[in-house]
Amino acid sequence: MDKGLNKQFSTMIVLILIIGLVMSFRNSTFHIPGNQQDYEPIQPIAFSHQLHAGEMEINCQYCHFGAEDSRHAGIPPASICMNCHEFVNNSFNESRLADEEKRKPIPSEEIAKIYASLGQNMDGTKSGETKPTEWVKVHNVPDFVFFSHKPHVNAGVDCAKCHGDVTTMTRVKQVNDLSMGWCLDCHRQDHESLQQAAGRTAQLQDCAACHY
Amino acid sequence: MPGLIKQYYTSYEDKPCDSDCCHSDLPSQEAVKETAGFTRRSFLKTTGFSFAALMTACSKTPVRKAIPFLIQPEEITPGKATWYASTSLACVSGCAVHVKNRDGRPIKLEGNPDHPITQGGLCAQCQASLIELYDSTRIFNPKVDGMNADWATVDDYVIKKLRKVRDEGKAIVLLTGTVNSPSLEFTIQKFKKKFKTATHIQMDDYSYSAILDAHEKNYGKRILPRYRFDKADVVLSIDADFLGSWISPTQFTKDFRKNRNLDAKHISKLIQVESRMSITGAKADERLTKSPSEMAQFVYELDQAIQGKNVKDEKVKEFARLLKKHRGKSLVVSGINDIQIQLLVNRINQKLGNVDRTLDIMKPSRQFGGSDSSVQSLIDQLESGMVGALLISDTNPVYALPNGSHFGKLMKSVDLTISFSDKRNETFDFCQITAPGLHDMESWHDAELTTGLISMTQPVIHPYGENRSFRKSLSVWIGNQQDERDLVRNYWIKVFKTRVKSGKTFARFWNELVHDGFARVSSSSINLTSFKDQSIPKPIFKSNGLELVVFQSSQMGTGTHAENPWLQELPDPVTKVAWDNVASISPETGESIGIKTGDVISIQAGKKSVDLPALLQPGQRKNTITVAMGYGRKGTERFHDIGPDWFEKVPTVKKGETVGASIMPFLSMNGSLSYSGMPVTVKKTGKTWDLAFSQTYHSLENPKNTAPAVMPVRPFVQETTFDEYKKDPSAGSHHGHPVTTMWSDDHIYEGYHWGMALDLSACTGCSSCIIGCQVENNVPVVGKDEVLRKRDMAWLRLDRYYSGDGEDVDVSFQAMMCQHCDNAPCEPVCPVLATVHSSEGLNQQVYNRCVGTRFCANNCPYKVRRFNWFDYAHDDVMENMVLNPDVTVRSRGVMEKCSMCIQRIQEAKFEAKRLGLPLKDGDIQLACEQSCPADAIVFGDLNDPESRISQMVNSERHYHVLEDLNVAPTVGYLTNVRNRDASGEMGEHHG
Repeated sequence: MDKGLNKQFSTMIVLILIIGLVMSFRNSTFHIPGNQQDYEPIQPIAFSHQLHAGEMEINCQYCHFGAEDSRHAGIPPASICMNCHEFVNNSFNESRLADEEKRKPIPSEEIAKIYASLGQNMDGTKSGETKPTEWVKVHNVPDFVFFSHKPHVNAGVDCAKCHGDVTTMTRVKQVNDLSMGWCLDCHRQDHESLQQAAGRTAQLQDCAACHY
Repeated sequence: MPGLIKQYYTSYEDKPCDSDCCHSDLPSQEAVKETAGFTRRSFLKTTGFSFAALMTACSKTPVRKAIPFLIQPEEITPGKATWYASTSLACVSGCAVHVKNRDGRPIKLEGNPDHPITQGGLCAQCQASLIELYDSTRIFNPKVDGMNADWATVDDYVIKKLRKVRDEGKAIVLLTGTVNSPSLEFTIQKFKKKFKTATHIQMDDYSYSAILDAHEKNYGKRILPRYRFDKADVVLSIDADFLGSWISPTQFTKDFRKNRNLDAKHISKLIQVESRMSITGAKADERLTKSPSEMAQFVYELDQAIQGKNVKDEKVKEFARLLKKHRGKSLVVSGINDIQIQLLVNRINQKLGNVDRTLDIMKPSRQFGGSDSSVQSLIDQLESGMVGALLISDTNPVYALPNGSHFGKLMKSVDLTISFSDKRNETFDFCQITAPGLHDMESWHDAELTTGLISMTQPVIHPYGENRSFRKSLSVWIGNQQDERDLVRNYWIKVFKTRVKSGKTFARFWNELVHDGFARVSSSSINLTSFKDQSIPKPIFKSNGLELVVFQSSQMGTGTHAENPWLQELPDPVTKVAWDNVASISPETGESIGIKTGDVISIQAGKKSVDLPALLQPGQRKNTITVAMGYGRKGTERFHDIGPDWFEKVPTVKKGETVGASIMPFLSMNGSLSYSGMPVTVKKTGKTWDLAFSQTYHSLENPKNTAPAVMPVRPFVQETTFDEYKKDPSAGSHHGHPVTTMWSDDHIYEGYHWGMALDLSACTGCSSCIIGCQVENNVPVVGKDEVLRKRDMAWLRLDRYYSGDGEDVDVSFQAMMCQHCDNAPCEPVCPVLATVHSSEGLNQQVYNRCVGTRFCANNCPYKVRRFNWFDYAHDDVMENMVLNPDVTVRSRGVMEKCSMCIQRIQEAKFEAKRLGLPLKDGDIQLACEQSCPADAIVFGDLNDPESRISQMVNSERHYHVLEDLNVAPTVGYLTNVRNRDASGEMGEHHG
C-alpha cells in the first residue's frame, strides 16, 4: 500500500477515536443524535411531581388538561396553580415544621415565583409586570413526527407508560428514548382496547400514522 | 367497450394537425437564462454550507422552551383548533366562512355550509385573503403626509379640517365601495347629519352600474336582482362569466350546480355568448363567439325575436325558440356594462316571464351598488374645485378609473384627502391622511348581501397594529367613542324591534348572529313600479378592426389582492399562465398579423399604449383582444424577492416593476364605464417574454414518437352528451383493454380504504381547490422563475384541455393530484422505502426517509410529485404565521405530493375515538373537497357500501385516468356530460 495513503488512513482512525472519546465524556451513556433519554433539565420553578402527583395524588389531567382533547397535554397556566396556591403559600415540610414549632410558616420562594409571574406579591398586592414562566420542555419528538396525546389518552394508555413514574420524580426526567422503535413496541401489539375496527393494528404501523 | 375519444390539446401551438402544417413550439422552457456554471462564489457557498451542516449535526439538541398561558382563556386549549363563523369580504360578494383558529391565529378559511347564499362554497380569493392578514407590508399606523402619527393627532386634525370645509360650504365626499352594511350605512347617515355638506358616493372597482341603472328605468328603483340559476332550466349568458367572476360566482356556482344533477334525468342548459374564453364558456353546453359590437347586435336581434318579430340570424331564432319554450324557467343575463344592452336584457326577461321566478327583484341582491354617473359627477365636482374633503374607503379610483392619474391630480387640489386602506395602493399615494382599516379577520362587520339576510363578520385575532375600521374612524370624528363591537351591536339594539320579528330576546338574536355567522331579518318592502318599457335604438353596427375586451379573471378579480402571492401563483384557469397578464388573441387574427404566443405586442388606442405578451387563445372570437384587469398593481414590486435565493435566480419582477401591466387606461368612460369594445391597434415590438405556463409540462400524454399505435390518444378526459347519457349512462366512458396483472392480490384493506372521485360534469375550473390545498398543506410559493423551470409545488393542479377547431372549442378541466394507486408505480422504485402504501389504501410519502433520488417522480404517470429543490422560506417571515402546525414544512431535498389530507383523516379518527363513536361518511372532508363550490369532489371510505364515494365508484360514469397502466388508482373521475345534441360532437373512433 502507498505509504502516504497509509498515513492518511491512520490519521483518520486516530481522529475517529478522539471524537468517540470526546463524545463518551460528554454523555455518560452514548446516544445517537436526537436521543434525549435521561434528559433532566433544571426548571425555572423547582416543581416536584413527586409531591403533587405522588403524595398529593393529584390527577395528571387536573393540570395537563389538554391531554384528552388536544395534541398537546399542555403545561398548566399559572391560573391553574393558583387554584390551590392562592391558599397554600409554603412548602409541605415547612407547614409541618411550623405546626410543630407553633410558629408562622415561612412562605416558599418557589411558590413566590408563581405569584411573580402573575405580577403579584404573595399578599395579593401588585408587584409589577406579568411574565409567563419559561419551562424547559423535557419530552421532545422531532418536527417530522406528529404526536398527539388525544388518541393515546382516549385509548387508555397510562401516562406512565411513556413518561415513566413521575410520582417518584422530584425533577422530571425523560425515562424512555422516544425512538420510533420504542413507539412501535406498543403499536405492534394487539391491544384489547384497540380492537374496535378491523385492520386497526396495521393502521397503527402505517408511516402516515405519525409522519405527515 | 370501444369508446370514442376526442383529440385534446393543451395550447394552440400544441394542437394536433392532420397535414404537415406545424405550429412553432411554445417559447421553450429552456429559454430560462443560463448564467455562468459553477462560479467561485457558489463553490464557497456550497462548501460553507456543508461545513455548517457538519457542525450543526455535532451540536447538542437545543433547549426547547414551553411557555404556558398565565390565565387560561376559557375556549382555547393549546393545540386544539377553535372555529368561528364569519364572513370574508375579500371577493366583495361576500363568502360565508368558518375560520379555523389555532392558538390564537386564524390558519384556514372554510365555507360555511349553513349559509343560504354561499352554501359552503368558498372562492379562491377569499381562501387566499388569509395571507394578507400576515402581510408585514400593511400599514399599521395612521399617517399624516406619509409620516407616522398617533390617532389623537389625526383625529384632531381631521375634525378641524372637516369643520372648516363644512363651514366654507364645500362638499365633503365619502367615496366608498358598495356599502351593504346596515350599521355602516347608519354611521354614514349620522356623519352626513353632523357634516351637512357631506355626500356619499359608491364606486365598485368593477362596475355593475348599467344593470342597476336599467332596473331604475324599468322598475323605478336602482336594484341588482338576485339571479336564481337554481331555478333556470335555460340560461343564456351574454358575456357574463357568472361561474368565474361575475357578481357572486360562488353563490351562482352552487345554484347552477343544483340544476345539473344528472340523476334527475333533467339538467339545465347553459348557452354562453362571449368573445373570450371564460370558465363559464368552458362549462357551456353551447357557446357562441361574438365580438363586443356583434354582441350588441345579437342582443338586439334576440329581443326582436322574443318579441315575435322576424329576424334573419338562425342562431338567434333557435335561442329565442328555446327560451320561449322555457318561459318563466329561463334566465338571460349580460355582463356588459352598457345600459342599452341591460335594458334589452330586462325586456327579454320581462317578456319571458322570468321576473320573480328566475330573478328576484323583490328581495334583490345588495352585493353591488356603485354608480358610474355619480363617479362622473364627482370628477366634474373635483374639476370645478367644489370638493373640500375626499374620504376614500374600500375602492381604488386611481387604479380602477380609466382616467385614474387625472383623478389623482384632482385629489391633490382637495383640502383634505383621507385613505382608509391598509395597503399602499395607487390612491394611497395621493392622500394626505391615512387612517388604515382592518382586515376582515380583525373586524366587526355586518353585511346585508341579499335583502333580509345579515352576514356577520367577527374578529378572530387581535389587530396587529394600531388600525381601526372605517366605521370607527367616522364615528370618532362625529364624537362617538364606542368600541368596534358596540358600533355594530348598538345599531342592532336600535333596530331590533323593527327588523327582528322572531320573538327572540336581543341577547339571543345577537349570540346566534355571531355564532351562526348569519341571521334572517325582515326588511321594508321595496316599492317597485310595474315594468316601464323603454325605447331602445337599434345599435349601429360598426366593425372597427380589433376590439379590446377587459375582464376580471377568477383569481385576480379587480386587483385588490394583487399583493397576494398565492393568487399570483395560481394559474389562470384557461390560459394557465401565472405571474402575468397576457393579451389573448384568436389564433386566426394572431397569425394574420404575424404574432406568436410569447411575442410582446404594443396595444395602442390614441395616445395610450401598453406592452403585453401575446397568447394565441383557442376559442376566442376573431378580431378581439382580451386582457385581464387587476395587474400592474402597485405593491407587486415586492415580488422581486419572492422565490428561493440562489445564484441562477431570475427575479419574478425586475426591481421596481409590477406584475403584469395595467389595462385600465383603455376603458372608456362614456356615461357608464365600458369594459369591452374599445377599438385598438396592435404593433409588434420584436421583443419576447417568458410566460410561466403550468400546463406545458406535467403532460399525461404519450410523446408522439413513443405512443403505441393502438392508443395514440390517452383518454384521460372522457365526456359525452346528455342525449347519449340518457340512452346509456356509461356513454363516453372509455374503459381500457383488459390487463393481466403481475401484482398479487395479497394487499387487503381491512379497515378503511380511502378513495376520492371527481365529477367532471360539476367542476367549473374555478381553482378554489388549489388554494384550499395550498393553505391546508403548507405548499410554498416558488416565484415565476421556478414555475418556468417546471418546479411549481402545487399538490393539486387543474389541467385544462381544448378540443375542437377554430372558434368552436370545448374546454375540459381536470383536477389532478396524487391518484393513490393501489399498484403505485412510485413505490417499487424508491431505494429507501420513503414512499410506501398504507393499510388504508393511501400512498404515503415519508419526508424523513426521503433522500431525494426523484425516481418516484420520474415513474409517476400522472406527474403529481413535487420535489423541494430549496428550502422555500417565505419572502415575508410574518407570513409563516399562516402555516398549518399539523403539517410538516418540508425541507430541501425531499419529495412531496398530495397526502389526501392525512392530518384531517387522523384528526377525525382521534375525535371519533374520543367520542367513542364510529367514523361516519362525511366526517372527513378534504381541503379541496370542502372548498369546492360545485361539490365536484367526494372523499370517503370505499369499504363502506353506503358511502357517497362508493355510490360514485359504482356509477356508470366512473373511470380511472390511464386505466390501462393497471396502476389501480383510488382516485376516479366521472365523465363530463354536456347538455347538447349528440350530433357531430364526437371525434375520431377508437376501437
